[in-house]
Amino acid sequence: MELTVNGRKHHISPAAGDRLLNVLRDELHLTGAKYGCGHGECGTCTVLVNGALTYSCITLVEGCEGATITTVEGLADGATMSALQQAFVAHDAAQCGYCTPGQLVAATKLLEQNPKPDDAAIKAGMSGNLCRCGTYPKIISAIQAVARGEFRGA
Amino acid sequence: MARKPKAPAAPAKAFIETTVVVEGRSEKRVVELPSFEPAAWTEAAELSIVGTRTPRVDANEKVTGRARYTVDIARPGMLIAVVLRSPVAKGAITSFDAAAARAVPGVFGVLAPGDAPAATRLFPTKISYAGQPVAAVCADSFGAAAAGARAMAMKFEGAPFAATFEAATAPNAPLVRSKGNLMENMPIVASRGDVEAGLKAADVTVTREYRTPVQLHSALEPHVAVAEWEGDRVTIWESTQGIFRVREGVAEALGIPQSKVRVIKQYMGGGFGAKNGAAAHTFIAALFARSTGRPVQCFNTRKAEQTDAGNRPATTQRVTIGAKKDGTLTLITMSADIPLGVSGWEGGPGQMYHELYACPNVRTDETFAYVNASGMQAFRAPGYAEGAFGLESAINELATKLGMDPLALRRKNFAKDDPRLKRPWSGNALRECYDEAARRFGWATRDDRRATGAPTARQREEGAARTRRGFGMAAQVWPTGGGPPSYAHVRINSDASIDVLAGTQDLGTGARTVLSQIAAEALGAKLSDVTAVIGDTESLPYTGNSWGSMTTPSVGPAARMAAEEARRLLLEAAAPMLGVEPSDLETKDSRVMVRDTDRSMTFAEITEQLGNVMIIGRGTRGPNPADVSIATFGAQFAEVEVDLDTGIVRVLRIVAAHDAGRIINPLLAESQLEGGIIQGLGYGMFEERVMDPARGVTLNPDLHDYRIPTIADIPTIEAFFVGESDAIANHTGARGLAEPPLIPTAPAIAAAVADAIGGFVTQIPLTPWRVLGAIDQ
Amino acid sequence: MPTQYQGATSVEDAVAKLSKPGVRILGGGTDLLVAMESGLDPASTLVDITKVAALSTITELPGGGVRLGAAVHLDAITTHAGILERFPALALAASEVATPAIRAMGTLGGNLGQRPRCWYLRQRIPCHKNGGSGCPAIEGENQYHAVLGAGPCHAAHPSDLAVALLALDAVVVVRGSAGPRTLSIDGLFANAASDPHSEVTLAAGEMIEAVELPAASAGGTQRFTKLMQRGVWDFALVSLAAIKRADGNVRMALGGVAPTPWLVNPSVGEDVASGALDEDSADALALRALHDANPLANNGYKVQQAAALLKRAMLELSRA
Repeated sequence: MELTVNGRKHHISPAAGDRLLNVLRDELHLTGAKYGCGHGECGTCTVLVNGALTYSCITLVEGCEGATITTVEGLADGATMSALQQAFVAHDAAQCGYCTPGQLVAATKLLEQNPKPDDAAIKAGMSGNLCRCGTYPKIISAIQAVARGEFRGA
Repeated sequence: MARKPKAPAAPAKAFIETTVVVEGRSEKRVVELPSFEPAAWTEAAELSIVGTRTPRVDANEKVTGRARYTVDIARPGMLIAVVLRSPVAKGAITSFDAAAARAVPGVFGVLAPGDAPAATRLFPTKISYAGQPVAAVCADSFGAAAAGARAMAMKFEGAPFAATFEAATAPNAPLVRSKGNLMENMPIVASRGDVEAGLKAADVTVTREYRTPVQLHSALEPHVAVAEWEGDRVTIWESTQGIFRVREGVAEALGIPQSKVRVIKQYMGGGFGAKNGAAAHTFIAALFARSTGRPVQCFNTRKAEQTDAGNRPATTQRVTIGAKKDGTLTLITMSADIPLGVSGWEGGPGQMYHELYACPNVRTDETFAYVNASGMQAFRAPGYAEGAFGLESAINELATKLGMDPLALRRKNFAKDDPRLKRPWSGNALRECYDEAARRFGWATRDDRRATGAPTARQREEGAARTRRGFGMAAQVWPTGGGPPSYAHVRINSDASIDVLAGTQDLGTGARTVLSQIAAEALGAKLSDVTAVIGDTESLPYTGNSWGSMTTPSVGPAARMAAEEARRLLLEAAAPMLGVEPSDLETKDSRVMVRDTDRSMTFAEITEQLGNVMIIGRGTRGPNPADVSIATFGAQFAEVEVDLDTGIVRVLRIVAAHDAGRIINPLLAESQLEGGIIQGLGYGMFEERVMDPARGVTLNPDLHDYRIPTIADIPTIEAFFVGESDAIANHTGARGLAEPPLIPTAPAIAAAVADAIGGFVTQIPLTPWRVLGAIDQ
Repeated sequence: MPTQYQGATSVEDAVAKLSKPGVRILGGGTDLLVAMESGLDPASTLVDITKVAALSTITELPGGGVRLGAAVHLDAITTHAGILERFPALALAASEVATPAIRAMGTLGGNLGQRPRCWYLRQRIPCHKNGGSGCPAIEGENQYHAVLGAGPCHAAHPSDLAVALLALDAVVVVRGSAGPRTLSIDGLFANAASDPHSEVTLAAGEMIEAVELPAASAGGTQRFTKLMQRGVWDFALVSLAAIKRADGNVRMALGGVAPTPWLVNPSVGEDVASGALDEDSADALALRALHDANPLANNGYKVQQAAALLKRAMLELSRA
């Protein structure tokens, strides 16, 4: 079957029951999305499937035939990071960084739907991505900075 | 100009005994004295890189997904190991079929009970807690390994167990460990003064029992190891807070020299105290890798991580405190019961009771019991987070009883010296923390906000909610000076790029960034020219675990000394090139300048002439100063809103001031404060491992029913530093700060809730049922 | 045996595939895949209905009702103009479900058919629903369990949408090989005694095809409130959907308190509809609504919470 991941077409032959997360990581070597819980509880595996926010750990890859998928690796344009990525760096919105790929995908989706989110909208939009280090205040300030147009990215 | 011959500085090879504080507890160590100690960076020191809010040096890797965590390590031909775990809390394995597991297609190896070397302590046939590893299967896919595990068809026989302190200490309790259910020499008593006299002298007393829950570390990257053998040497990639401790553990368990074990850790998804050494998954990966000749990965599933990867143990603390009418404390007593699990150490709540206040009469006793549950591990401020809830809740209630402002009560009893060890603090700006946090919080005018507390949007949605605002505070002490042994090297390459080499690890705290800043500052180099090389036991000098908030004050001084040494050598090399004495030279922005002239050379111009003649500086962390106590302090203020009808609490605001000496990077340090506060909020509000009393199994081993804070749960947080460089503690002036911010958050929130409901709360987390129960009292 | 995946091309195709043993309908999979992994669901084949356009559509019905296909994603419910305008309780309920990703993945049918979050069930501790008998929560950790209508299972029903749909008096269209049939929303949910392996009254080979919101429930005053421990991403401790219809009738449903979504005794609604309440009469009505509550050792707070939500909503509705 065919998947388009970060703009590149891939032909894959998944085994029955394979999860999108495992295919991305093990076959396509896109290890940005992470295993955190395997049950859709933490958000470290968040990607976009046909533009929809998706926990890839509980997504059957067979249901993604022909889909367009965006992972954290697809947010930058070559060496130019997206505005959100730049803001996450500047605002220290990653401590250990393990949840960061999922956070960035969720934040990208949030700003696509609502380019000027207030605090409540940021909290609602980012509520499916846990961060055990507690970078939340910095994530909020990074997203606010992008919403204010302080970063120009890919 | 001829260079004057100069005798090399005679290395002062002296070994002395010093005290190092690890996880808040003192240890004696024999250490090597450094050959020189750089002059301390006092508050007056003019620093241009240290103290700046520079972004993390490895942030780009993290935001692009390029950072490689241990879970991302994929070696050619790598096999996956799956661990079988006991479903019963105590008992025995009655049967299993290893042959059936081996027969499953794709299975490469089975480790059954009795198969592992004794030193690994893997797979005993007797079960002492639910979740205990009992066997492992490795295969060429996770699915095949899981199928092999099912084919093992392990059967268990349960036996009576004791999963709580009460059960373990009851008469005729089932034995958790063969030598008994109490640690040796229980209780641990610590005492000063005369508490009986203190009780008589008290005008007002508070006696209360406080309970704290089992908290789970819940790092998002679970414990994981990859092992690969090459001849008689094994390489272990491990998500760990201590690469050298993992090396020791693997060497000991496998009976091989440490030089045959290499441990690598570049990026890790959190540790918080749970990843301090080699564990079952490490040994399983190493054993399978040896027997199969293939690389092997072994990781904890989330369920395993939440079941058997360490925890902060529960406590019951019976507290009595008393004071004169003017607030002068006359006694503090506390008696604690702590169920450790099947293993653990004495990181109890008691010590903080002796340290935070200048009370003349203090007595604590702590009884640690083994219970049939997974063993505890240090968890960010072990003991102090628990103790703070008891001590600070009691202080807050005492203030209410005295009719005194809790802030005034704390000021009244400020400990200007360490009251436990009866010696000065190296530095202590706790009073400034009180002042500045109270000012920014608006503590003095809080009653005005109480009156105008408008309902939140959510509560408006919920209709005519009866909500009340509440305000509370708590304080914190945490002994954390770091210390030896820690070594670092600084190497200036032929292109003038600079490596800081130290066998430490970055948990997400920012160690890479902080060490780069310190080295760049000391060397006079551009930060962008410096790379911190960490996380590999093979090529890097030893440093200890990243625990006890120790990395910056332990490795930082070693890195600084190494950089100072490298700078000295660089100036020696540059002096003849510039025709001056080394003492005429200074460095800045990777340039050597002749003082008071416009003559200079870039580092690169110098190293070009040197070619591959290396400039290598070596640094050693010296001993801690004798006769002072080194600790980090802080005060936090909380504002909450409580729905009196539903018991639901929302934390609206936390203002936190902490004194950790010099702050190397305020941006990253602020992140540490915020993160600690948020974990403390989780501890106070949501987090609680729940075990079924009838079965001794964890009911919430996941990330939904075990509730860690989400982004929607965080209040407005204003966290900042007061105080100044602690030139007495070490020559960088920095103390540790990762753990302290977690300590006072839960009691500050509890105090605010108590204030809102006009009652008191004695147990965390502050679930709706506990809050309603407190309201109903 | 790995689970086989089959894509359905139409409702008829889905029903045909469903007729074989071991087959389950797959929506977002956010609950089903997790339940399967923990051994809770023995499905061997999953039929994905999310690519069937007819099942993924929200349709305005003549007269003001709305029909939602079973595979409609929860986030589509939160943004649909007609639902927001005329059935805001349902939009609110959908917006309170879990997280943005779960709402983007999860479907209406899946939300109604999800298994309870009871931790004894999820940890595979033997019980009535789990290959054993009785309910270990009765003597165990029951702080999240049901206070009304429980037994033999005490798990609280997890669905937020079901609570709103019950208050809205929705109709469920069920499809089997014999064609569609309709049943009332309260008819969809059954206590555990009937089938330990499911909380819905579907027969073998049947699937939820759609849910219809009746025009009679459109507009009026609609409230949905969900109490959670955290700010988000919790199943309801207690939830309440309260509707005062345009015709003045009041219908209320509670969530988190019973093994099924719980319809508040209609006589209580009648009293609310009959005129303005004061604090005392609202208290008395809340007491009456919860008269049959029978809490376990640790979940009595849910009765207090339910009473508080009822009182607040009833006072508001009586004045609306």
